[in-house]
Amino acid sequence: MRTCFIEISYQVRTNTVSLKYADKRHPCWPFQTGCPTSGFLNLQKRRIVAFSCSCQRPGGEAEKHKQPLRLRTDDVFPGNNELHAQRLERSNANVHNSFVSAIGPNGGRDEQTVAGLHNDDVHAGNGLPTSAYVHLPFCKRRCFYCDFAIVAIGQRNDANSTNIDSTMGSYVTTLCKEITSTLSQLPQASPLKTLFFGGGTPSLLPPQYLSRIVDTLDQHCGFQCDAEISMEMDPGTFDKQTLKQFLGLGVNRVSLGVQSFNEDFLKACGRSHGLQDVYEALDIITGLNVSNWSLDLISSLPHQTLEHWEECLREAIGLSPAHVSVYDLQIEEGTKFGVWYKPGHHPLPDEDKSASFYRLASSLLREAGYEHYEISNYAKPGFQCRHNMVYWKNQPYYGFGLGATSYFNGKRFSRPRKLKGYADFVELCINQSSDNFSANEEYLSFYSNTVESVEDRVCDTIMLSLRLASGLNLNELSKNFGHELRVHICKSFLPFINSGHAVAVDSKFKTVPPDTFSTALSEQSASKVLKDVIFIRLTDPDGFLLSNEIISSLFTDLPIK
Amino acid sequence: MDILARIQAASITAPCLAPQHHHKHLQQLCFPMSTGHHFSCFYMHQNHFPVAMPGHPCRIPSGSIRCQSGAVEAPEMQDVKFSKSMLSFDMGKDRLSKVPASQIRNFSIIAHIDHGKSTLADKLLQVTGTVSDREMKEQFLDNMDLERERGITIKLQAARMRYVAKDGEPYCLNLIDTPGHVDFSYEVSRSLAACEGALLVVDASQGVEAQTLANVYLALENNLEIIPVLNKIDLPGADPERVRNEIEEIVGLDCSEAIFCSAKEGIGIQEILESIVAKVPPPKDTSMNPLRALIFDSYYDPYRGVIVYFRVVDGSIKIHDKIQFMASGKEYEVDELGVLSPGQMQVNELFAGEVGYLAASIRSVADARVGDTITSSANKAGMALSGYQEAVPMVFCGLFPVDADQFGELREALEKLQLNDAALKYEPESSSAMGFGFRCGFLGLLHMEIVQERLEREYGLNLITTAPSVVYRVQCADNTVVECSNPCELPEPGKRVWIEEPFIEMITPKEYIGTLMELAQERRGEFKEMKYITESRASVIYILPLAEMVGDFFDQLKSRSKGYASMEYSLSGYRKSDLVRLDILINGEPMDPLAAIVHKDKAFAVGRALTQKLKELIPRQMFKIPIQAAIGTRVIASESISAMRKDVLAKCYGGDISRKKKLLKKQAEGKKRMKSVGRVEVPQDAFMAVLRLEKEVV
Repeated sequence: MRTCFIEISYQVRTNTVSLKYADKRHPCWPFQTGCPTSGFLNLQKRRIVAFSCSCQRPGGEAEKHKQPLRLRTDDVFPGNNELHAQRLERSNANVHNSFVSAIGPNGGRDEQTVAGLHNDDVHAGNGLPTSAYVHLPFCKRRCFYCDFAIVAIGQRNDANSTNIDSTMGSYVTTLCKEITSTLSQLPQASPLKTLFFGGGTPSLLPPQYLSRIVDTLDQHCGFQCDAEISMEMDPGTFDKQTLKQFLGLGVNRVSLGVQSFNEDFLKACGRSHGLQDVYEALDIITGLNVSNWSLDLISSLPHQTLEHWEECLREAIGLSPAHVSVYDLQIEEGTKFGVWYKPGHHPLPDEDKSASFYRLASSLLREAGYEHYEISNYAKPGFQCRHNMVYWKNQPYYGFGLGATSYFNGKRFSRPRKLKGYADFVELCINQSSDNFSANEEYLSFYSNTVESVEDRVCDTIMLSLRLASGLNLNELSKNFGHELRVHICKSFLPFINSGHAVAVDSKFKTVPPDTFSTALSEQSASKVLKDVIFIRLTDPDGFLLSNEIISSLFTDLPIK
Repeated sequence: MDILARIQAASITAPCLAPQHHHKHLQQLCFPMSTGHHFSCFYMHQNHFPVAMPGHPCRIPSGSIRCQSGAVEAPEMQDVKFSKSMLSFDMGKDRLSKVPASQIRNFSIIAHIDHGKSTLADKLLQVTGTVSDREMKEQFLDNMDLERERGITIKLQAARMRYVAKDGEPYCLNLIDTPGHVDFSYEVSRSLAACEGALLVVDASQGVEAQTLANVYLALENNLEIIPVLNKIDLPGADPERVRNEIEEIVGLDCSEAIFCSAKEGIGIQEILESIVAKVPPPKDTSMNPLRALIFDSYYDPYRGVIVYFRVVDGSIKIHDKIQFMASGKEYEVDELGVLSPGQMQVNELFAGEVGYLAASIRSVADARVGDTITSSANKAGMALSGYQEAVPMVFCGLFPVDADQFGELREALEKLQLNDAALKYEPESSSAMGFGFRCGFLGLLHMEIVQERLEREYGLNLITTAPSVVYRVQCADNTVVECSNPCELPEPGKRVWIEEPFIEMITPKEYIGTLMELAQERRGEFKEMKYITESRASVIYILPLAEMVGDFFDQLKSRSKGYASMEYSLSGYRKSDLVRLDILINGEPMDPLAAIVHKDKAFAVGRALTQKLKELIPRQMFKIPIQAAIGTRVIASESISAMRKDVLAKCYGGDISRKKKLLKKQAEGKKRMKSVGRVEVPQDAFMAVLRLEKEVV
């Protein structure tokens, strides 16, 4: 008998629950096309009746599970529609071991601990993070729309190769120092459940450097056996060998920065790659059987038409990525686009057109079987980005590297955005962390603000959770901030529920009709009825499209100053 | 140390001085009197107002004066000399001295705006040594920032000057400044009533202007001796001879002795002073009568209560006297008494003919209004001085705080302003769109603008003002007449028989006749008559609804004449007009503050302009918003704002939510500044812009 971990996620839209193996020792891990194993919960009976594995991998075929899962009602309906890591007793003879070595000695930790740490609810902003963001700022060049903390290094050639390596090397050294000093001062760092290499262009980093980072993390906190390790990669920056090495280091999710399937638009954005690079990168990824890969697209580019955009979306869907991120172009000050263009003015699409792009993406991707689980993210069932979910659920996370932000001990903190400033910052961290934790705290607080206020936490909860399809969890809200706020927020939502931009969902995952909701609010029995409303979520696409308007209205209404 | 500072310092340190000094250094001074008149004796005490006195053992003697009036022996020459040398040695104390009525000259300066009244006043203060060259601020009398900026006098002030005339006699000259705008004609008339004479200052190049005329008539009504002064003779364009003739012809004053002067260059100042002494009659000495003093100004001081500026007409007033204000009936005890020179300098008693100030812990200027008569509680005068009027507001507008939380502050500020401005009227008003505010009544447009600016500047309030309106008289079907200034209170069309509105008569000199006619023609003006005074000078009289003038009429007039045009207006009565109420509806909800009473012929144009402006300024919202202008139920103009399509932020890169939160919070802040009209959020500046536009087009 072995304990296997299964992730259970509920889809509000289809009123179904999907399961997936979360244990890399299962033969189906990492997930392949056709996986995860999925099953259905019979919600009326409040138990899972059956699930099966359709995986073609060795051992997979044999695993036809008819055995009912025994779940307590509370496990399914604690007010959290995403249930992770329910333990399931079952036998598993075949253990797939390929990545254990890369994960390091902590990879095979005992089930008890792992199981406990699986529960997201433990970390309500003050527990220790089990997620980390690592910023790798190097790019060949700066894209015209980009205002991130990046370091442009140009095209690598014989002449500059040594220089680039030394720049990257010293950056990675500093980065590892930061990781060490941050983690070593914690009494006991929890193993990571998610790790995200963002950039910049992380794929520009030679694998040996990445290995140093992974090793450092492994040494100080380790990884959970089912850790999601994502890496942003740009076409034209890696070959098959490099990716193989990255995968060997534990990377199991790839986010490919395609942005557009149109040569002209790529050029117009100042991207460092062409369309050919995109297809080559895709070949490499699929060639190495990376199933959990994501594709980034940007809409509302200058001169973009609805036809262009549809073409782009269809092309993306045809490639069948597990995950798609669709970003609406944001014109930032200080970027080339910021100088050239004015939002809403030609050649940028106007508000109406830009809205139609969003609607088109929402409907085409949904048709193709993608869940629109977050304002700008779509995933096939089970392929939501777990790392990004940490942000939306307002859970703590480490941030390492240039300009990275972190959220732990109830504090949000942004690191310096210039290499020199970052190096100085790390130096200070080391000097102060050696034996004096509180001094370092002081230093950190010099940069960041103090612990987030209640108001800030309420705002964070609202703005982040409303980005998710599942919406705002009212049970959690009243648990953290009191029942009065729950009633208050319900009232603030009323106009949006009436206008169809938001919906209330009850404990049976049924939509509460606006009439019932508004009657309940106006009556004395409000609190009783409202108890039954567990989620309020924005509708897709109408509510999502106006999310800023709605969120800022909710902020305006907040009773706290 | 300058005199004023020293006196202030002394009045603070006075209690510390040893009491034995009180009588030891008592010194008798005699003031030279014109022969055959009363004499007053002065006892100077060491306990107030230290003033350096030569040859005296005490270096800090005082300047507080106690007076005895009555017939006293003529002074010896020695004393006169001493007093003279002392007085010339130290200005300030001399001005505190009791002066017999015969040596007093109370006068004011009347002039058209920019003809140099303030400059002349400054020069008089300087030449008489009332204010030292060093402490001379430009335009000393206009001591409110606002006045200084606008170059106009709003609240009048007074200054007591000592001038030793060519006849060797020292005179006490009281300059009572007058506000320079038609809105304040009542206050002007009260200041003039406190004088026996007036300097009529006319710009030697510009000649007689509208305001000159208006003020001269006020002065003549008050029986003042008018001394014509032609100012700015140093300017290249000056033609004093022509202007002199003009004054004679238009005003009908004998200008044979008109003084040519340049206040700026100091030319003719001596002549003016001599002329005041010679021509302005001294006040009647009625010191023995029961006290009657005319209030010509008052202001509220947060520490001492209302400070009342007055002219003693009859009797005398002493510190600690119980006094009564005859119109308000309120009684107070005088805590502080003094003269203005131009700073406040305390004295113990003031007599008939003198001008001074008092403080009596008075709570509000409403208790001591301009024009009211002060009498003694113990020995009441039989009759109040004539001419007291309750202020009648002519122009109304709604004032609303931008931030609803400021309503309390606005009320307090208005209360405080009213302490200082009895002409300001207000009552609470509430509107669905603007929340709680006040409907305020003003004497005129300038008064309104000044009050608004003071509220914003001095009280830090952020205000929205509705378009100004006038008082309409509505003849109702049930034979009653309803007066209303608020469009929202206008009776329903079915109940109205007709509406009357106030009309004014405007007068302007020839140069601006064209501009004025053009403007008046656009605004329902009616030509009345053209008067040719001389071949080169004429004036035109127009009749115009007051409502047409309360908008941007003055601004337009000024801009069309490059800032030069001048005009005066006076109310000529009510007349019937074809008026309608124009409502503005946003998403079907009437916007009360934007409702306006307009002439039927203009309703379409106004409605179109307002709806277009609103469409421009109201941001898209989550639903489509119709904007309509309607007369009753009939929509005469309509626009619509299409629904917002998209307002979403793409991504939180690397979990950087702070920036996103900042943006959302900023957006939320913006919403807080919006006013909700039903479900529609209207930005504050949209309101303001529309109200501004309304002032232009209505």
